Amino acid sequence: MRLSELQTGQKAYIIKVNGSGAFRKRILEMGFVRGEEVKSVLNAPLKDPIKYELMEYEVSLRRSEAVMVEIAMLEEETREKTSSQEVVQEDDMIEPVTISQSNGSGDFRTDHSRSSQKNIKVALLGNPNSGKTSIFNLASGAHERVGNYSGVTVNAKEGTLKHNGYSFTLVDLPGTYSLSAYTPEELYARKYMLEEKPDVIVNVVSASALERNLYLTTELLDLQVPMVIALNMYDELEKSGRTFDHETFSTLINTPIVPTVGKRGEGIPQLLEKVIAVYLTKGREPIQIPYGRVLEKSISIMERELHREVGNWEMPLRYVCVKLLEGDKEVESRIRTLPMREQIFTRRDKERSYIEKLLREDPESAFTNARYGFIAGGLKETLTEKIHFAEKTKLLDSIVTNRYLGFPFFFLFLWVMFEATFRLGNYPMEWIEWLVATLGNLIRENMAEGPLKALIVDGIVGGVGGVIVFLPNIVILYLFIAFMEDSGYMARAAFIMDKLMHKIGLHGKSFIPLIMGFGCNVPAVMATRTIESRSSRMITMLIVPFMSCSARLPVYILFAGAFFPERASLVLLGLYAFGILIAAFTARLFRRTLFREEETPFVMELPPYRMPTPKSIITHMWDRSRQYLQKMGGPILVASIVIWFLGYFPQDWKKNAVFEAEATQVEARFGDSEISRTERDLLLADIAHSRNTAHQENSYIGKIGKFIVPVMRPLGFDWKISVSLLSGMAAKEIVISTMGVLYTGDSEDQQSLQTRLQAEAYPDGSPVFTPLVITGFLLFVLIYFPCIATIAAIKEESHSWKWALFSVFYSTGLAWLIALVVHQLGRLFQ
Amino acid sequence: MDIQLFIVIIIGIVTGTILLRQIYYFFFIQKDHTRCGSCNMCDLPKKESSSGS
Repeated sequence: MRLSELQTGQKAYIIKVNGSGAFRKRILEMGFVRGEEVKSVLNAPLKDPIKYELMEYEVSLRRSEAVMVEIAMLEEETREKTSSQEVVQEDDMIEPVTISQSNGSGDFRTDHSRSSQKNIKVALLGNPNSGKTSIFNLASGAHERVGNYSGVTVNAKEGTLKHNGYSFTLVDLPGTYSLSAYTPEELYARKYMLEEKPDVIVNVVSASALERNLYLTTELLDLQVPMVIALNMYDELEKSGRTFDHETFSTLINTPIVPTVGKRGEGIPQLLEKVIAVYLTKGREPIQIPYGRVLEKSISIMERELHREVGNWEMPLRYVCVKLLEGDKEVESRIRTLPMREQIFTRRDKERSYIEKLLREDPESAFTNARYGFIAGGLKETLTEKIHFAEKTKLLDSIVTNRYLGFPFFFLFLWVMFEATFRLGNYPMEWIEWLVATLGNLIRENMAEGPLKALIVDGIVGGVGGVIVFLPNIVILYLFIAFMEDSGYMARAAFIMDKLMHKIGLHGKSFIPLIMGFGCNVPAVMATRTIESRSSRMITMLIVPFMSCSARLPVYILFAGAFFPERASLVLLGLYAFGILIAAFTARLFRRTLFREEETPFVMELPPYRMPTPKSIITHMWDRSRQYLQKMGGPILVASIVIWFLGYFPQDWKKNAVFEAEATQVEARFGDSEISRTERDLLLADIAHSRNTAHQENSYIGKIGKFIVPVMRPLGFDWKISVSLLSGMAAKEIVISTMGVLYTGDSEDQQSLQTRLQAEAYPDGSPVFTPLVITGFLLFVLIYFPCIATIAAIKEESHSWKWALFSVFYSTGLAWLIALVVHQLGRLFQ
Repeated sequence: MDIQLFIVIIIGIVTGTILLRQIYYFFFIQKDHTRCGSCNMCDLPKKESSSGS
């Protein structure tokens, strides 16, 4: 029987995992091993993927992947009988670990040479979502992003702290299920461990899924690295009514274990004390994972074969032998560089055949089973059964992943997010707008006329002030994204969307970077590292820019608020939805043309729901606000000044004199009572408008605008819109700041940019911003050139300028085409 | 020279320098690959699949 045939609520026992390659290795490491109990929990709304429960955690698999797992439905009695038979087999295979084998965690021999060196380099390593970053932040005082889903950390982050006279350099590594890694960030973690050789490794183990988390620990034991285990989320273990004799387990594996609660900082000082103790320890007696008679025999044969060849490698000989027998690609590629490679591979293949023949399973499964067997043996003596079962996750999942409610709930969430971003954000936005206008008027009234006044009022206040007003909207948007990430709903969104993502050639995991893209495209592009397949990763990376980032939000709010105030939220939702549609179209197109490789399976851990702490949410919002304000003081300010310079110079003094003479003439006519006050005001406004227009058109920016306008004219854009879009290539907020500088208006008072845009008209009096132009413009902003930072991120992640430039030309070309179609078709119906 | 124009020119020079420096850094300074440190392991599966092994 296959796992895919298991009905919701039914339990079975795993017999075998078929197939080969990365998928098989990954699910073996995640606990799909022989004899393990698995339960089908629920189906996603579109009946695929399916959520399974094993080893006290939840994981989703597609039906097509679940077919690969052979299971047996066994009656309780039969099961007991079978498992006792299995124990006999295991006992035969694995030599029992006795406590006397190790000298325990407390017995350290002090390395006096290290006592004087007070800098300790500590690497935090653990399964995804085990809380490494929470510990990192608390210990180092950093503000790195944490979230309740796998793969929040995609590169190493460093922080420092001092404790008891020692200074620590903490390195937060990406999460990994094992050291035989397949995704780039997992490979990075392994490479870092082997090459950087941190003084001590803090292995963060989630107490809520202990068995699976300890798999990585067994690999670290094989690697014989100095290690302390942080038993994180210990409160969740206690809440479930279980007890874990961690001291006995610590003795068993000869590694110190410190219970911690990362989010509250409990146990961190004790953890640092243990790190110091391990650092000062010399020659800790390493324990070896007993793999059983058959595997041990093969290991010792390979050790004899390899001991002269790999003696100077940075990893222990036994570890190299185990990995070679497992078929680890990286170890194999290094062996290929050795002179005796032929002989080594022949011997290895012989041993693999020997293992397969005797154990009736391939070496990969045999080693994985042996490691899990070792863990199960250790936990059997130290971990008690669960008493309280958390129903919260089941209850919430029954709603948010329900067949009928799942999608409506997701779209309702998005709608509430945009409604709050627009409506709630509108009040503080108005206050900031008032502040900006007051500041502008204050300078206007109290400063002598001249270029500096124009720079401050039109360049800095007009440009930066035009963007800064959207800070509240950005903060509210991030509040929702932080809630989604921290609560665990992000992983559910990926789960329910998998079937749809599958249809466009991607899988649910790609959905997480896409959702992150609503915040900022740069971390979203970086988050694609969690995707195993290169082709899926590349496609996801190239479609991320179509997710409307928060930098585009000010443009949407400005225009939706000014021209569609009644339907602003709907316009926002429509733009975001259109971005998703474009992304889906592009993904499908690329899968069919550029990346035809087979897609990877969808194996994703579904973390339990956790209530986000106010501190975490506020920290997230504060960090984003700070970043936004820093952007105001950096690129936005520079861009506003540059645009102002290009708009202010060159000054045509002759023409200025003509306009001034005309104004003097009008004043004189008014003085002679030839015209009324109203007529005077109208004539002066007319002269000011003509002067402004003539000056802008003859300025450098006007010339640039006139140069590109033939390309943009078919889209209905005038030269000012064209220049704003051009400058927005640096960062999308600069579209607004450029408009703030270009659309100065003729009024003497500082008006909001919305008012100035509404008043903008061509010389014949027709408005510049018609609904058709605005629609084309908003779609163009949504689709065209991702900002420079995103291009740089794509270049970094794809390791190629080719794909970064491809993204630039594809997105800009598509934006132009869509805006053209909208404008030209729209004109037919006008 | 008009004092306002003088200040504006100074601001212009500073801003231009910042801008050119950023452009230079973006195009000509090799960024540290925080993740890979010149590791090309993520290309390995691709190479393997193309070599048919």
